[in-house]
Amino acid sequence: MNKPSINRAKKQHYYVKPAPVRRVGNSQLLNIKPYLSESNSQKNRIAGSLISLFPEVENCLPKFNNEIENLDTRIIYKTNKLIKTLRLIAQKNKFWWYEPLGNISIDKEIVLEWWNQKKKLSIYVCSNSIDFIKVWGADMDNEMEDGAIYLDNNLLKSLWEWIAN
Amino acid sequence: MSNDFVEDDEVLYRCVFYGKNGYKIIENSIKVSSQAFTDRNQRPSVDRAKLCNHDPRHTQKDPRDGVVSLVTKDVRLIDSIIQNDQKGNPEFSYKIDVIYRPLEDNHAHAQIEPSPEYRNAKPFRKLLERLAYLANQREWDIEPLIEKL
Repeated sequence: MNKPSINRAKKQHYYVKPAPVRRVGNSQLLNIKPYLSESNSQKNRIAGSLISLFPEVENCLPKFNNEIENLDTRIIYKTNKLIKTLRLIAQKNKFWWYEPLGNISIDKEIVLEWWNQKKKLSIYVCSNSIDFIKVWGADMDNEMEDGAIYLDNNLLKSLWEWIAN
Repeated sequence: MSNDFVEDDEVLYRCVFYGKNGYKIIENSIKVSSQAFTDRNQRPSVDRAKLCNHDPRHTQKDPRDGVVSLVTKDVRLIDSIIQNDQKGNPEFSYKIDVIYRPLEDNHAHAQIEPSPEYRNAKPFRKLLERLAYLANQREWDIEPLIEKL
């Protein structure tokens, strides 16, 4: 039902047309699972088409970046949800907010970066994990911290509180 | 004196490519991203200012690109890139060096290299953060073209 349909174009070339996506409440894209079972080449093309359906991700990544097509759809989905959640936390708690700078790393992760005064927060969204690095000074031993997070509101709130204050 | 060894006081230029989200404007200052230092081989390229007449335009690939700089000594002082074992306990720290690697078309080329090679992505991420931090402590040698909306 939600599987991508294949259109036959001229000269026997085929392309994959993404299935329509339904938005349901806060859980956003519910039909992403069928995409995850596709072959890698299909996944890549689908990721390229899907990106426009994830405005948070589309807005923070560089325009005209071919690497978007190589992204795992789970990473796009998680990043979109992460940015939305952090923004909501900032709004609710009247914390500082700034749109992140987004990039695709050499390991095909999405890297989000924020700067606030002397503090810097980087979040690496991978298919199986979300890692962060906090930096607040030149001393790497005492002024840099890294770790893993997941999409839990309390965890994200304490992370955002750190950069916001 | 031989040019093969990169002296501690040498300035190194790094190109920040236009249009690739290598920087962000925050309250009138331009912050360089850690991803502006990334490298497929985990050995970020730099140009030795001394070998390009201290002209950062040498490092630009496009007139719209920005150029930031680092000092070799600061890079060599990065001694806290730690490799943890599987249980998360510190195993050893990487030694970071600047090695002269001249190219046919770029006599000033050098690389920021670890010893030993990075075992996984995490230490390299930390290096990128540190390089961006160091670059952000200095003025841009050439600011990237900022498009006015």
